[in-house]
Amino acid sequence: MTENIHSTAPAESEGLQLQASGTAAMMPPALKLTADPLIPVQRSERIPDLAGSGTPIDFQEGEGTTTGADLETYRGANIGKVGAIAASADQYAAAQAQGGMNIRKTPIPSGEVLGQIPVGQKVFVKAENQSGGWAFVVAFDGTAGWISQAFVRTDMPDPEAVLHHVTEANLTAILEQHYHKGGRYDIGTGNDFATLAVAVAAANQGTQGVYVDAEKIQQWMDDNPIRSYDYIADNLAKYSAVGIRSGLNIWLPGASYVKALQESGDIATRPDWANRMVEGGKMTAGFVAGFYNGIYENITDTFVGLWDAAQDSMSFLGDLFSGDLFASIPEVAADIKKFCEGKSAADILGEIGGIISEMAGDMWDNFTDNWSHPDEYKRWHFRGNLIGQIVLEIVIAIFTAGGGTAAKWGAKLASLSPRLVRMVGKVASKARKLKPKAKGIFKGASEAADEVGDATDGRGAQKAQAFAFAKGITEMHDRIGSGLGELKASLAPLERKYKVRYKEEAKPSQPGHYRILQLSPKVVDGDFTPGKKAEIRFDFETARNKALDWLSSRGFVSQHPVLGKFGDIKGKPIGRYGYNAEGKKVGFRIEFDQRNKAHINVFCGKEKGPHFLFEASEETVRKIQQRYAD
Amino acid sequence: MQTDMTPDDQFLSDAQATGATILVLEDADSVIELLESNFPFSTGRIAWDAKDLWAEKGEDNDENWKHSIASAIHSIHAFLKNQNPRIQFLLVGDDYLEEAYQFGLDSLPQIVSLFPDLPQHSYVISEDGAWALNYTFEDELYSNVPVQ
Repeated sequence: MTENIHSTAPAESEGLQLQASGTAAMMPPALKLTADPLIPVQRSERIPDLAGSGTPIDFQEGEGTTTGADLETYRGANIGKVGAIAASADQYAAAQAQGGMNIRKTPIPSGEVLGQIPVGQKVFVKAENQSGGWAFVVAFDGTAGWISQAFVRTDMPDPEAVLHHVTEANLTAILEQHYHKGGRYDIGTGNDFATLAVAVAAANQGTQGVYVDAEKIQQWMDDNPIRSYDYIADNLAKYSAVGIRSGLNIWLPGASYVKALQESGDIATRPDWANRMVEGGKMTAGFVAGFYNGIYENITDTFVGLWDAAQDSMSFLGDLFSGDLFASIPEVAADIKKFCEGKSAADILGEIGGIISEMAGDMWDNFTDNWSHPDEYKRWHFRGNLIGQIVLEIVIAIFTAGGGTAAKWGAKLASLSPRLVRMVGKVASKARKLKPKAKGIFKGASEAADEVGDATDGRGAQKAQAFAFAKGITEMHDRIGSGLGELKASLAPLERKYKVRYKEEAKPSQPGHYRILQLSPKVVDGDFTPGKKAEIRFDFETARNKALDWLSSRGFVSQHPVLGKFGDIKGKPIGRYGYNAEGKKVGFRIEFDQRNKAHINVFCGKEKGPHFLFEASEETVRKIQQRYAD
Repeated sequence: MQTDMTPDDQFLSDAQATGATILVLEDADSVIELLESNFPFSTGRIAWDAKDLWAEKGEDNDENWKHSIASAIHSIHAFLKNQNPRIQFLLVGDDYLEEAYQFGLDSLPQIVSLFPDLPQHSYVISEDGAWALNYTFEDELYSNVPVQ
């Protein structure tokens, strides 16, 4: 809509025939309007009777055209503005039923109804009557007439803003529907519902529809002392405190408005690199939690009512997916991320829909929405859940149909994730060793399940409790921005319940950033990224020989002792160094500390080599160090 | 045959290239004494408590690790700025660098960003001895600045 009133709607046909006299009432031709504040108006253009007396009033303009701003001086603050149709809670239902708010031929309550304009629809306010109680509006579809000023909001924050009538005070749902599903905003990590919520609060400042509870902001800060260091902590705190009121109308600003507030600093932003870190954390955390949910929820489904059998199998699966297999879950997530690049949810469904329908049938429901969920965590939780279900099916198949099943399903999953195929191979291998134990669990439980059916006894209640724990993980992440610390807290009861055999520690290390350490039996380090490999600790001779191999390849010559500089080893030898043919200082140091225990550090110039760990006490290390004096 | 540019020369040049303001101190021993008198040492290293571990490289690639360090230093910097924005730091290494250095709080992120390339345990201590940061040979970052 780029043309203006003047160019497409001659004054004669536009205003005069809509006078309050009621004669020759007809709708103006479809008017083309623009949101541009410069609204040219033809000289001596006349509009309908502003007082309802039937006397047209001329605009007394100069030559040529005038502007919306000029019109305001004659006819009130709203003339020449773009606004939107609003409705009170009482009027909204009726307006919805009849297709919108009434517009009338004359500016009086009993004026003939010419038609309706839907609530929220944008209109151009062309005139007001003298008392200011009525506005002559023209909708963008050409519908025109008088409407009560109370039903027109002209405090539009930006040209793209949309007026929304709140029927249910759920801001997140509105944001998701309007911005995400409506395709109006590219939601991503650090640029999410919290960002939009702050923008909505800013756009509606001073109105009744949106409020910000200052106490809640403080409460959030108090409750999230670690996250308060996040670059976007301000947004997250406000998001927790922004409320909307049902029955009122709120502006949902456009993307350019949000961007402008970000650029001005009114909405906090996080650097891209930090967003990438958080994104990675959410992705892997969501996927891991979803993966376990996929397994545990469905194992309880499989053995419904057979709590003991389910518990045994969950304990068994806990063993199965610890260690290397646990570490490989994030790798699978990375594969899936790569697999998804440049593909829509429909594309994905086309490629792996067969597997999903065969192995995780109920995942079809809302697949597209869930696979592309705007919340990074939820999106990956769903994907992890899906893969967890598929892997569980494979595990069960291995025990009930034989190891060949793993190969069969593995081949089907090859396009989705090469590392998932490897995982399946590992599962099969590990499962074979545990088969005597597992077969009894699965087979026995399956047979018993056939006999017992759904249980409604105490064990059924336990199952419900188990579900509640599992679902708790997802619920904790309902609001975008929740941290991995919360994930850990929510995983804890699940781990206890199912005796998952690993220990973890979530350590907040940087703003909005948590390190997840899997302490036993192996370490998974840093945001659920594939972690440290299993610790390999040699005897000293082996470690020394490996260190010497590394040093020799860099031209190491033993020339001088490396001397300690602090504490009880100050001035004492701790290793040797020399200069190679390139003039680089090459050497090694024998060290002991509480975290790494005994090890050999090697270096060549600025290059640091591996840390060769060996079995030795602190005392033994001291004795070894003494060998390296001149 | 040794290269003309010593590790200290190279470090100083690298530090200046980051925009940090850094001074070379004549007396490295006094910095060592300041560390020893304010922190417990064991086998030649500060005996850090497990809670003081802010970050460790693990299997991170270099790029991710740089981001992790930057993020950790951002938090440490924010905490210390709140304590005293004019705080001065002293730097000393246990092998690779022979000199000691001094710089202000605002240069802390740039200086720490150079530590991964130094094959040594690098120690930074505030002039009053209250705060310390240690980047280890094993690519761990310790500090007694509390995690908030």
